[in-house]
Amino acid sequence: MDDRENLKMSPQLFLAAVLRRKLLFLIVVLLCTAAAGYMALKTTFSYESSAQILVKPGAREGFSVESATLRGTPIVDRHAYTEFANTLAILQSRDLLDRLVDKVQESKENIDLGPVTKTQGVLEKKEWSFLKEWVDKLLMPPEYQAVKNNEDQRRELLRLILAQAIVVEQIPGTTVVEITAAWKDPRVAYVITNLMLEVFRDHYREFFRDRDSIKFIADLVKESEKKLQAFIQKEEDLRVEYKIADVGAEITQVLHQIGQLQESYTECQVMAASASGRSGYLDDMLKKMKPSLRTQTNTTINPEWSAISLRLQELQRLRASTPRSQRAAIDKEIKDLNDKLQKEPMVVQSGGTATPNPLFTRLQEIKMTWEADSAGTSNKCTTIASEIQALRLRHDTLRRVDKILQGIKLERRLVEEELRSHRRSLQAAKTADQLAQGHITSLKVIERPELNPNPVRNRKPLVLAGGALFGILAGIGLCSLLYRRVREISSSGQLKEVAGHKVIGAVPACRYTTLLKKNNQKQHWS
Amino acid sequence: MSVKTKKPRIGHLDRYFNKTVMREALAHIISGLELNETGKGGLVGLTASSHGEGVTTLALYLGVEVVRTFSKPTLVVEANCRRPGLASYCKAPKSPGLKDVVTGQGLKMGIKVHSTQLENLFILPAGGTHPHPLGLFTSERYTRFIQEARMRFPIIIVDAPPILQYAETSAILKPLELSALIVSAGETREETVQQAVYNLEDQGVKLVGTLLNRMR
Repeated sequence: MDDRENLKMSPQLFLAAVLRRKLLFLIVVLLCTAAAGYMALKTTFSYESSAQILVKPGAREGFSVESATLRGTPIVDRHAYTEFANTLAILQSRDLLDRLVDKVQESKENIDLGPVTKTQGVLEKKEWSFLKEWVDKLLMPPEYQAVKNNEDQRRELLRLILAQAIVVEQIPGTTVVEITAAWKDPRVAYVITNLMLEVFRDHYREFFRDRDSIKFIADLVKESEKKLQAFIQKEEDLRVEYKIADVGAEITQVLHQIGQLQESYTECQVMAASASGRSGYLDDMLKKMKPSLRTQTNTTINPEWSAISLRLQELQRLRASTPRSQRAAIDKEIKDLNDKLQKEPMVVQSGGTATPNPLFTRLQEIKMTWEADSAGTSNKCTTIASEIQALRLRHDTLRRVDKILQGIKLERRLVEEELRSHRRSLQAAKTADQLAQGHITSLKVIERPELNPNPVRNRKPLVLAGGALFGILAGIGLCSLLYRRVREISSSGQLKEVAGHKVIGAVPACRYTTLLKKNNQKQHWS
Repeated sequence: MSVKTKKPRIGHLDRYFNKTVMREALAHIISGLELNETGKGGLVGLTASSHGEGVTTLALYLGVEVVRTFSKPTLVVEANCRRPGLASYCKAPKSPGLKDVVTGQGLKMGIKVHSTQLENLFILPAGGTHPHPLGLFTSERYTRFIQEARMRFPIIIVDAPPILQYAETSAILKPLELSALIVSAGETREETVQQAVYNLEDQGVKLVGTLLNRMR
């Protein structure tokens, strides 16, 4: 048993396992093929009917999608479509499908699109068949049952069914639009395609048939043109008034000048501060120096200072010998004498002549020069600051004008857009006029729908082949599963273990026919 | 013993064994069964757990190999009266067969065997189906047939029906000296083998071992 679990699934073993269960394998394959055959039989054919419309290139302003899509899909960019794209947009719009739904429901043709159409028009007569209604109730899915009682839902469902059935697409590399309807009934496919074509032509005509609007739209165009002129004039006046050719360039230039002046101003301020600092330093030096010098002088001790000093010494001695309670008068006198001593010079000079100090004089000259430089620098700073102020004022003015011009430009753009729109509408109205007179040539139906009895999408062989393939795979899978699950004797050791008896011998698998072929003999057996 | 003018085509089997591993395998089985020229223990029964495990073919091949080895008269008896196949396999006449010999219908008592193209190899087909094979093989005549055949042939190989499917198998194998169970590799399930062995032993069959057939 363990041997079997450890046994690796080799292709030969697997093939042998499948062949041993060939009956099971065949049954599975046949069952799957039969099921596929049944499905293929139940599958209904699909029939197609198509119409082709040629949109002539070159007439890009032939009509506007703007009006065509007012009631249609909102995703259409009215400025981005050429005439061909407009046609596709109209064909694919929800509005067109709504009209098709109306048309189908109003149609006198007996179109059976399922339960959703059975309460409208001629088809109502069918409901008199109670038996069929009863069968429908049994077979119809619940959602159809619910939808049948609600007009809006029924209409929406019908629209969805038609949207799925109809394909509108461009034939690659051409300006031909192909409308294709696919249905399980070839006649219904044909009728739907015809109705679609009819609805499209009606839709197309209706949106561009407003001949009375030509004059009105022309007036709108003129009005927009006047507005545009007014804006252009206003812009020009502003330029003349402020003598500005290009506001943006001037603003840039002024900002550049302001930047340069700011740099000069900063430099000037630094220089002024430096000069002021040096001047203060010289002041301090001059205060410490003597303006004149004395020659051959005699220096003697000031007698007054000497007398005060002696008296102070006496009083100090006296204070030391005097009791503490009687020292107040002595202390007061000592203090007075100390004050005097501080005021009185210690030495007295006499004799000699006084001459001016040359260093002092030189420093004074330098100081005067520096003070003059400092004044000049300050004046320069003031001048630069005033220039900066003037440029800032100019900059503010330019910004204000620029804002006004921007506003004018925006309004002008809106007016231009409006004008373009009015011009397109005017062209559309003129085209509609031509269309109403039967002169429109931008559209041409080059292939009308036909009843096509040949089904498309015949997938029965494919379904059958798929079923058979699935059967083969399922058979192989089942055999493999059984091979894995069912324990069979595969080796002598396993047999000995299971049977509990010795294995007398093992005979290799060798077909008699194989033996014959190996010996290249003619088979004489049976 | 009657000799037929048109002998069953057995002889050419011998040629094919020369170049295959089959002969070695069969020699191994002969050795395992301890068959010898003296004929002691030469009454061998082969059975399987179910149909289609190659008992008849293996019995015939074994007979051929025994004749080649010992050159002694060897009889291959088909005791499967449910689905006989030996006669058609050898292109031999279906009757007289074992059924006729044991019942004695239309024949006098005595062993009627078919000689083959291979000298010393004789076959006895089942001789058609029988409605009550159990009664046939539990009768005195079957025992007598075995005894008489044993006197004539040193080695007798009996092809018995599947043990798990038919009741008469044990009756067929009981009088034999030894029996072997044939198991088809990759087909016979473990539990089937166990059940077959249990049945054989339970019913008093002298089971000496098993043979693994169709080994890949």
